[in-house]
Amino acid sequence: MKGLLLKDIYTLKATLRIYAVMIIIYRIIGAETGNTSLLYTFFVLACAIIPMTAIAYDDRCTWNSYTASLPVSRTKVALSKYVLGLLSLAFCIVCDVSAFFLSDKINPAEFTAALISASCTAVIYMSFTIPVVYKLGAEKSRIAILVVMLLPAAVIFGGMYIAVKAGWHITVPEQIIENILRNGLLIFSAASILILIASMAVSVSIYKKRDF
Amino acid sequence: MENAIEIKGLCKNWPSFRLKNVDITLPKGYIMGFIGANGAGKSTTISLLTGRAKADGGSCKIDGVPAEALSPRQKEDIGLVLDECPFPETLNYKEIDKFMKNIYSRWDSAKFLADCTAFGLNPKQPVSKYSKGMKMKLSIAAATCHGAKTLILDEATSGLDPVIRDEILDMLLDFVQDEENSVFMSSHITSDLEKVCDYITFINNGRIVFSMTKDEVDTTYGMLRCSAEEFEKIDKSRIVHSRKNAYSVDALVYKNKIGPGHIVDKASLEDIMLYYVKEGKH
Repeated sequence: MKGLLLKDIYTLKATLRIYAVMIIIYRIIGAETGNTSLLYTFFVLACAIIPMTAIAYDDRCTWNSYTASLPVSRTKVALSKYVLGLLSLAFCIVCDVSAFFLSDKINPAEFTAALISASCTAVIYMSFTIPVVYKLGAEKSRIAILVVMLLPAAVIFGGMYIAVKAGWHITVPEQIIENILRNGLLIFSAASILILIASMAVSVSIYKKRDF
Repeated sequence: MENAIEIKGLCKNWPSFRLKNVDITLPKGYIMGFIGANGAGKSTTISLLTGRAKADGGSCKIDGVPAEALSPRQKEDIGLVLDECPFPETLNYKEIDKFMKNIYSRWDSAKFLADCTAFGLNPKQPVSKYSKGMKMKLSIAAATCHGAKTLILDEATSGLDPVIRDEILDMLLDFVQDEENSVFMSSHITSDLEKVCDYITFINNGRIVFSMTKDEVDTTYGMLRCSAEEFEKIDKSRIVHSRKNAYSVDALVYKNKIGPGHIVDKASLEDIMLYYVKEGKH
């Protein structure tokens, strides 16, 4: 696994440098202004785009065919991209937390909530994209990923539109809403971990079945 | 005699191509050339042999172990060289060394770096700046510096100039100086295979035409040139395929069956391939 990760890090060294500089700049801006929304967008980008780019580089050469002859299992090859994404996320979190301690303009409760939400969103985004890229390849998967990512929003807003047009009144008990709000971060974190585990299982299954 | 590679009854069905009952045996310490036209099944066979694709029937063994059951330790004994460089184009060979030594337990950094230097590769240049020959040398250096005993090359010499091809062939001959080492290489360049191979396997339309020693190929096949009248008198079971010219007939024949009274020249691997593939269609 270490060898596979090193390979991806060396392969993406130029991209990683740019991401690192951007994350540090956005974090400094966030620390100075108290607005961290741009940085959290980078959380998602780092976690999902970096593994996708690594897979795209592998697809452009015969690396995937070559790995079949290497003394590493297909499971490890498939999971290495998740580890790469999580390492990218860890770097973002370290930057974010260190900036938090250096700034007095950030509200601790808001900071914690935003950090956990952004990390979970990044993990979920990565969990949806990696299996699609393994299944369709880096080139073909772009449109599919766009559809996958927009589908939940389309379903929710589409459903709301239909409900309003049809004059439906859907009421959710207040108790449930309160519970969701109170335990939101916990639910979100648990959901993102479950989605990540399911995604890993799907990716390993896809990668094991692939012919090179 | 122990076998480096043993393929028995190998089958694979693609939507537009079928590999049918492929049998190949390569004893340890020898070089086998694997020839065939484009789409004949060479790369498919190598994919199945190296576990890159799953067979629909039959078995592939490397050093007595089924390809799909090779442990990481056993995979260290295999060196694979594909027709394209397997390393992402942004890497240079020093970076390749740094991660490959974390993949192979027996990776010999000193040998790899020395080979790359000897091949004239620039340590600061990324793979994207290398010529095709340089990329191939890099691939071969990577395949031979982790103590591999079986080298598998898929069209490794295609597109290279004769000088680089000759250097690569010399490297392969050096490699099999150790009797435990073996080479299985597919190529279109039959002249290369004639220089170095002990065994030749010919595949056509997904079927093995023959798999025998180079000497057996030389004694089995020959080229006959005669007049059309003479050709008509020859028993056709002794002819593999023939080509009629304006005043004569050229034919690939079974040398030992053709009998005296005919002048039969040596058939090159190229002649054999051409007559089986091209004339065999008519």
